[in-house]
Amino acid sequence: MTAHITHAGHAEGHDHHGSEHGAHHVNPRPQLPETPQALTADLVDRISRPRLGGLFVLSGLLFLVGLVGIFMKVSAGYGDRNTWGFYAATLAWVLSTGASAPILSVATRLTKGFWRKPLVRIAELFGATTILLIILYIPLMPAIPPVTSHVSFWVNWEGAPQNALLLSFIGLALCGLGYIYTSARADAAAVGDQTGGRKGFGAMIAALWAGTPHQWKVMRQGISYLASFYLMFLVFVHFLVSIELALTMVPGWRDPIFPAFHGITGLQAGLATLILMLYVMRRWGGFKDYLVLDQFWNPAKLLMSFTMLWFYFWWSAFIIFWYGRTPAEQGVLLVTAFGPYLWVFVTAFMLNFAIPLLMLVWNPIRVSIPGPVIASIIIIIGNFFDRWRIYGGSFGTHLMDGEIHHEVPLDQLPVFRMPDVPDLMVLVGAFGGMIFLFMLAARLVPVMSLWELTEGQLLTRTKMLVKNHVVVIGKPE
Amino acid sequence: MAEPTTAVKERKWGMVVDIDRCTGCQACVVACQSENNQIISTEDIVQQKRPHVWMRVERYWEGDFPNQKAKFMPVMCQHCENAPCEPVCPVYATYHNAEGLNVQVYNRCVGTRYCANNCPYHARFFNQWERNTDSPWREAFSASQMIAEPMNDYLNPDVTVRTKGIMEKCTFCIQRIRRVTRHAKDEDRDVRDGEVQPACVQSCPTGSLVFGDMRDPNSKVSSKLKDARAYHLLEDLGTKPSVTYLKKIDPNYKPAKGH
Amino acid sequence: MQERKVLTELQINDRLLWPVLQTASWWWPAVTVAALVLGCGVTAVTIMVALGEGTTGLNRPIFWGFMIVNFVFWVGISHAGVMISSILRLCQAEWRRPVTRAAEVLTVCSLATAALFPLIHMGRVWRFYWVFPYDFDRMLWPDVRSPLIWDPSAIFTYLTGATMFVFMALLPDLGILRDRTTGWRHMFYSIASLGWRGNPRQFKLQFILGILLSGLILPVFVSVHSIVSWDFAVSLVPAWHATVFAPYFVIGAVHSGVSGVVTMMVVLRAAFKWQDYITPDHFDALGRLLVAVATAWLYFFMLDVLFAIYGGETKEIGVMEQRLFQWPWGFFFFLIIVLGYIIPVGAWMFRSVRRNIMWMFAISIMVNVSMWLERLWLIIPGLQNKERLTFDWAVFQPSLIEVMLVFSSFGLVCLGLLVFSKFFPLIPVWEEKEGQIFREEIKIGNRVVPAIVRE
Repeated sequence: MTAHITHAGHAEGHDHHGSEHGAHHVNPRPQLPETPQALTADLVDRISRPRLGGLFVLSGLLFLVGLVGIFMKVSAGYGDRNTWGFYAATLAWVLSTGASAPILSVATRLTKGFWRKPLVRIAELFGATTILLIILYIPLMPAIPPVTSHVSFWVNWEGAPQNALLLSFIGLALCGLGYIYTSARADAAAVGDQTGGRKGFGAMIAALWAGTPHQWKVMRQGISYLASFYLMFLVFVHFLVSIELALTMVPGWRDPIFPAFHGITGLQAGLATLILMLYVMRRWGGFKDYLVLDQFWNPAKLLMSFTMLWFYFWWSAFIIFWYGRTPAEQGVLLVTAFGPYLWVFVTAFMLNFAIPLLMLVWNPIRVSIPGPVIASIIIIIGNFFDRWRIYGGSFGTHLMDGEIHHEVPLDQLPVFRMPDVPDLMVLVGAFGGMIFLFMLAARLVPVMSLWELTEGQLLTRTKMLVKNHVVVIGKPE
Repeated sequence: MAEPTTAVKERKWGMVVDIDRCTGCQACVVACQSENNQIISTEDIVQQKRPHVWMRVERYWEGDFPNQKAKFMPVMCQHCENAPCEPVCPVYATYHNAEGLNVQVYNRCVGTRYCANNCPYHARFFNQWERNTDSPWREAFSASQMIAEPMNDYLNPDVTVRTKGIMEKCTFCIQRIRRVTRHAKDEDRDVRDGEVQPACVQSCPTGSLVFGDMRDPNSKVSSKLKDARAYHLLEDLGTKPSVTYLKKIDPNYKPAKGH
Repeated sequence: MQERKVLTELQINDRLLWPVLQTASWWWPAVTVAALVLGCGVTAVTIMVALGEGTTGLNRPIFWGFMIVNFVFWVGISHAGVMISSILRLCQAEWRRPVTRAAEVLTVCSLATAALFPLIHMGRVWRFYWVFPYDFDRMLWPDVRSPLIWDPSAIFTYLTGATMFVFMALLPDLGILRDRTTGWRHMFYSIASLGWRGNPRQFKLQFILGILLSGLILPVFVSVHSIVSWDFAVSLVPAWHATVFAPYFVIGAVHSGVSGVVTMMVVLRAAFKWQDYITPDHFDALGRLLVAVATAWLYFFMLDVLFAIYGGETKEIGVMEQRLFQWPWGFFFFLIIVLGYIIPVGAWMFRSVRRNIMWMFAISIMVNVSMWLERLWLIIPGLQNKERLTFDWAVFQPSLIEVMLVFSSFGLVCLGLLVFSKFFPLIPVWEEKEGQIFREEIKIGNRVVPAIVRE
């Protein structure tokens, strides 16, 4: 019944995942080199010859455009809060796409499939985009209304919302960067050692790494703690951002699910961002052999579930407000969806839920590489429209002076505002900035997780079962 | 001037309660109970917290003796246009009719009691015990509800006696509305203002309760609605009640300086 | 997974089928006790329906009480089956094998029990069929705007799906039983097994069916408890009217349900002597799953509490204040947090606790006590009418009838499980055999690591 399989073999086998019966006979798994040494050598080779220089420079330029845009907006002043809605939406969009992408590495750490191993480092490197959050947030701080003018989470402590948000962004950035550091140490050491000595930034990261059992043990512990901290911080940041920049600014908007909605939709867009970057890495980054069908198909299954969850969380809020029929709730529905921002909301609904779901339910689209990538692009765009309708609405709401209860309905609807040139520059800059920070991190730190891949290879064997080749995956505890 | 016509006129029944005139005598409560065959809310029923008071007079006290003030507020089913009790009934036992009344259909009600939970005015009442039986062992449990002879002579023949498991509430004395409407139709005329008087309105000694057609611009109800003291209970819920209250005037009220 | 015993097919058949082929000594006494407990409930229902709702503690304005709390509780427990069966099946987790059938049967029994409660708490129970659209003649339709119509639709869909699930997974075992019995039992199993021969084509179809059902039942599972939660959330009752109820209830259901499965597994292990099949590994895995689920539950719970306070609505703040600081609700809140999160998750962080059967049993019962209290804490305070028009506020005191009904619902579920165990094996025989085939070991350097075959 048991067989001691002592040699490592090709990780080759049928694709027969039960749900896609007979659809494909393409091997979804990467064909790795035969030995761990060969694997390491191959990866080091690819990592030390980084490509995508053009994208790096272009994204850097876009980032500069964005910084100019920020400067222009700040000079225009904080007189009218409505002008900052689009900007706040951009900030929330960066939070939902770039900063949420590492969660795939975090969440799947508990599962033991092999498919996650080629993409974990790429997911983790998105942790560098948390710096962009701080850069974007600081100019926004004065636009947040004072605590006395609206229902605040912070019980009238002056400056509390702004400072709490800042501290949470800083905490998230520290977690994200710490996560990258902890995970990449061993790899930076390996790459350095294999290419004639640790130098530069790699030497700083890999300092004192000798690969002793004790160091590995501490590193694994550290990673699991940092992973959970990142998750908790991210949930907390979504919580604060959705409360301080949206909920508190609309009278009548008592919505406990909204922070969870913001978080889940953030995870959906983060996953989509990761899938898109995986495609970029595969096609132009030189990792075609490592990022194969499995690395797109499994995230696509998750993406489909999150797309359904988008609708579930949105609907849970909508049905309560719509059924309750109180004037305050009707006002909230008008502000956030059916009023001035109606077409933005409809676009968001289509791009975040309807179109991606209709795409991803089809096997040929889901079990492919281009399919999930296109769905991801649609979701990333859709997520921006969703943030725009939320924050455009909340920043445009006229706050009534005096004692603000959520029992008092709105006296007027927000005014719809099209973004002007500085707003668009900031948006472009944010997009460029995320890519730029990712690329920068990818140049400073190995972009594939050598130790994870090697570990995965060591734990994988093949054997014959009756008449089929099957894969055997070790599950150490 | 009322035009004699046999066509159904679009009516919207409404009530105005002038809290300033209300003395808290509770004649309306007793009248309602008698007119509508409600259970007699005896001591043990009230102890069980199940009295049937389709019309109740809420009493609120402010201040301490000897500067204590009392506020009396008669509350009955508000016959909301946007009634929260209506969409939640699974069997359509409660719905809004063309005359603006929130109607309770006794023989359709299956007793899920969701409507009662959803009524923010707590104007709905559930029949917890059986009333019409002469079985001795049931009598042992619900003696206070038995309507043994000759007590059943007090019952109003125009109104049913509800069995257990059924929800009930103020109907604006729909039996009286129907009677007057039929009578007016027989006489080939419109219903005159003040002709329909629910039991509570009829019994009120101070004229605090006024009932009539809110669509008729000449009715007494319509003129009272224009009063500056008019407000609705729990207005922020958006239920759009058909009952309007007129605020109590405090004769000792001294405005603060600068107002 | 650690060291596992290697078992032959004969051993597996023998050990897992003996409760069906023979009767355990404790079976009849257990059934008698369960039936007696259920009998209490039947008596209570008879009295209540004959005399009226007055026999309960319900009053005005607290029109929903223990029976609805119990309804939500049992719907919650029923969520474990789908969670474990379908999600773990889709994730291809090996440790689910002994647990799936028992969890699914718990789902079916607890869901059927749950469905009884909204039925018996109706004022005119004998008119229950009016919620179905059958009256084409007079066109008397139920009101689809009402959450009380969404409820039976969701519950019946879930019940159908879960039953199909159990049946589908039972087919190979029904074949085995047919081949090992004679007489009327043989006839029964022959009909039930639908001609199962165990050839590759049938296994492939059954496997595909399992994956399809798993995928289809997931949206149902999420929507059932969401719909039950909307019974409360779409109303205007303070403390009920919150948007977070749907995922909050679903996560709470998974928390309570999976803990219920833990309780059940401990009992099954001892009663049927299945120590080789239900090992500490399984409790370890369940414990880790529960840590994640419980933390997510705490997040939603905190959202609910926080938004009631910060939202600025006086009536919401008022009710939340009662629920946090006044007797008995403050005490229940304390119990819910301590028994439902702090002690369990604190204990589950330790491997030694997760692998200790008695500790897991005790903690799982603690969790379910806390979850029952949580439903009570959610449902009753808002109804007390101590906010806004407070003139006729009331408190709730359950009557003996209601307590008997709650108590007997446990008897009903136990009876269902016991009867099932007499006719069908509670651990899937074919899954265990498949698991044995899929088990491997690989050697890396000096160390032998347990492994799983993946296709």
